[in-house]
Amino acid sequence: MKNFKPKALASIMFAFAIAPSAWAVTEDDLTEENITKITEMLTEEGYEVGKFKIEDELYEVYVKKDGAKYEIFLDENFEIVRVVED
Amino acid sequence: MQKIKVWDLFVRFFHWSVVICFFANAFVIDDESKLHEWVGYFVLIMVLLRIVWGFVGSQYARFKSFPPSFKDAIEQAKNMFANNEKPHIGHTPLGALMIYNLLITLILIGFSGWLMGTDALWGESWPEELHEALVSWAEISILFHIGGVIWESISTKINLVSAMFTGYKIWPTKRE
Repeated sequence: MKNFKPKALASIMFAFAIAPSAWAVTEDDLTEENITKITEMLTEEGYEVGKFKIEDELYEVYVKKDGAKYEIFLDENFEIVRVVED
Repeated sequence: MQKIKVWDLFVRFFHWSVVICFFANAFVIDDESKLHEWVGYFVLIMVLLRIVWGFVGSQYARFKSFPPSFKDAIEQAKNMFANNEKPHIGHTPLGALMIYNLLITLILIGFSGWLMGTDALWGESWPEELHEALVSWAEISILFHIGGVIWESISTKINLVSAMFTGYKIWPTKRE
């Protein structure tokens, strides 16, 4: 514990505390531009893209692929966070 | 005072289970969850059973005891506003129209909800928009239903809410 730095720890904790609000995807992010970007990205991966929603501060996209139905969740950087099969 | 059995056990179970399930699905349960779907299908099954019961159930549960009639409903509305309402043993004409409205709306809610999950319509927006519009219509209807029940209970001095629990309407005076 010699190197314990309360200030550094505090700033890391602070960063985590504010992180969700900084990263949150909101309804305002459902712009034509973002939808087009995500649609192109998922279409390239072979998905048939349907409707968009915001769920748990993420983009939620309804897609189909090879006859299966999925909901794909993406963060503000358009990174896929999780894929849920229906 | 006279105690008259009007609502059989199934009618009462149907009514309150639909009340609880509709409220839960509209306001409590996550609408993205599987539970929301199962509760919705349960309501749909209950409505279908109620329709069967409308042909084979007890006297006041049968559709023929409360046929849809706009003429009678208008007559009842006139009497309501003239403060001259006559008590009904079973459903009133306005109550009957509300029941048909709610039964049809609940079926359409269940059907549109099912459509949302079908392979063909997965990801389409319109089934969800229809589903939500129908739920809003049901909510407005329910407010009118509750308002009507309260109005009717006060004007006829027959507690309709307790009748839906006990099955009995307590008539204030001896019935002719």
